[in-house]
Parts: sequence; structure tokens; C-alpha cells
Amino acid sequence: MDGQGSLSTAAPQETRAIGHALGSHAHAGALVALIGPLGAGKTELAKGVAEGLGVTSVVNSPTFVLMNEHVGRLRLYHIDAYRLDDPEEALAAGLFDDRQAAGVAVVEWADRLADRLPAERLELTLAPEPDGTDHRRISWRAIGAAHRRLAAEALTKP
Amino acid sequence: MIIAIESASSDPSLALASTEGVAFATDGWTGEGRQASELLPRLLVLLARAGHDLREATSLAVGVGPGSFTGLRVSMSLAKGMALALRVPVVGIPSLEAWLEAEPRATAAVARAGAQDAYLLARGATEPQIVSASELPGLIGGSLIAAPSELARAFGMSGTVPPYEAATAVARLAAARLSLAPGGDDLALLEPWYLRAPRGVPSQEAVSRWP
Repeated sequence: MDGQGSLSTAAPQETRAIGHALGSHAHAGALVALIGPLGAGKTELAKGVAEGLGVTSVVNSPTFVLMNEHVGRLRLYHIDAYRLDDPEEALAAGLFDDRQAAGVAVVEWADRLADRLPAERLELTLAPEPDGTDHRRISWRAIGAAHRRLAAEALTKP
Repeated sequence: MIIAIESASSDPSLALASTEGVAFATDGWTGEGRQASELLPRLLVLLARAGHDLREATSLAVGVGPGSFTGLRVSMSLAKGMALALRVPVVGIPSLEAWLEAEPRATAAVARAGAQDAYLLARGATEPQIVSASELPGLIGGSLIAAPSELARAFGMSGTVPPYEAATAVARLAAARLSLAPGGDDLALLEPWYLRAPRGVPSQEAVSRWP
């Protein structure tokens, strides 16, 4: 039941544009899980999602606060799991509250949450190309019907 | 007088009960997930209508979950704050157990576990389990289920009854506990019960690993 694919971007703006498309098409309850090393473009993509949702407040990496909430077409929950010592802490900190059913959650360093991440999601893995440029390979995997639809609308259309 | 608070969902409830656990004033409603601004004013109204004062409380009883993260934190803070100020015992009662106690016809209680999953306590079971929205219909069949109205809508469940009487059952169960252990729970250690099982859906590529 997985949908998957791969994209490449040549500049941060292009990574951001992918986020924008996701934000524009995102449904209530959408979960965008971002995986990739420092500087891969996770926050850039998250900023794009915020723009696509019509968020006007400043979107920064919530590394120290763990989660930021922004008002847009749907509420955006921007989560950063980098500082968590253990996936269990995500639960104790309320990073997956029920309010997200009515909003859109973007999780940076989602792989750090391991199997605590909600099952249905759109997972994007950002990998810098080995040539040292701004080129990125973004592979994605959509789990669940709603997220497969989101991927089809936002990622596979020209 | 026992003051009971249950807000493991967006259908919270309150009850004032005798020390034997018999409720004489109750309130249960469908809120908008704003327990922080709903619970205390409603409690004060309930007390005033019943002709009682907060200071008459001999214990606080609170549903500990599992359920809504924020809802549980609000009710737990409120119950513990009042118990601390009034110097009376506080007792935590498993929420879904209270939901079933409040609705004898229900065969199971279902609460929200985050955006995609639910906590399911079948009658007779000792612990709730975590199930996904898609698994739920197969597990509950066509029987009557205690579940918040918001969740019934979101997960397309029919034949549900909201836990509006949950606090009444919390008061009753707390009275039974207090008769055995009059000191109640440890005020410092009592906390919401967040139960979360591993999902078994690993990330495709683990880029960052735990050290």
C-alpha cells in the first residue's frame, strides 16, 4: 500500500518549492516526515510547506523548543526531533497531540522517533549529492490512502 | 464531598459526590478541546448551583487517561492544584475504566491516541490497547461503544455514547479506593497515563542513529 518515488533539486529554492506544493495540497491530519543530515534542506522544505499553507509568521527550525505552531489554512505543527534523547520523549512532550488530526504536522529528524512516529505519513529523505553542490536527491514514500493522494497531487504532477 | 474531574477527551465531565461516592451534581458536555478555559468555570458553576463551596471538598478524584494529551494535563493540574491548596487527598482513576463503569451497556471504551490511532479498552480487559482507525471497526463490531463524539465522527463509528457521566463513575471508583486507602495517591507522583505501543513501521532509511 506504499506509494513511492524520487525527485532531485538543484537549489534550496527548488526544495522549498516541493514543500510549497505539499502545503498547498495538504489535508487535515497530514504528517510530513523529513529525514536527512544537517544542511540537507529539511527546514527549507518545512518553510515551503508553511508558505503553501498560507502561514505568514516566521518559520525557524524548532530545535530548542521541539515544536512550533503556526496559523495558516490549516494549523501547522513544526516539530524537530533532533534534541530528543529517546523516542519515548516525543510522547512525554506531547509532540503527537490529538489536535494534529485537524492540522498539518512536519517533523524534522523523523527517523529519530523510530516506530513512535504515527503510521500514516509522507516520508521524505533528503540526501546531498556527493558532488558537494546544492543538488539534493529527495526520495519519498507515502503510507496510507490520504498521504498517497497528497504525494500524487504534490509530487508527481509536472 | 468528592470533586471528580474527567477530561481524557473533548467530551469532559465533572461530578460532585458524597464521600460514599454518590454523585449529587454532575456536568458533561462536548467541548472544543479547550479544557483549560472550560473546566474550572464549569466546576464553580456546578458548586454554586448545588449550594456548595470548593472548601468543602474532602478529596479530589481525576481520570488519569489514557486519552487526549492536553486534556489530561489540564485536568491533572487542576485536581492536583486544588488538592494541594485544600490539603486533601487526590485519587487517580483510569479514564476508560470509568467510561465503562458509567455506561453499563457499552462493550468497550475508545479514546483518541493522537491523530491516527485510538485507545481501546474492551469490557473485561485489564489494559487498553492501541489500535489504528482502520483496525477499529473489526474489533468493536456493531455493539455500543463509549467514545467521544469527535472521535466517533472522525473514525466513522456508529452506535457510540459520549462519556458525559464519566466523572460520576470516577467519583464512585475513587470513593471505593479511599475507603481502602484514605491517603489517596501521592500528590507529587500522580501523573497522566500516556500509553503508546511501538508501531512496527520503521523508517525507510535511518540516516541518524541513536548513539
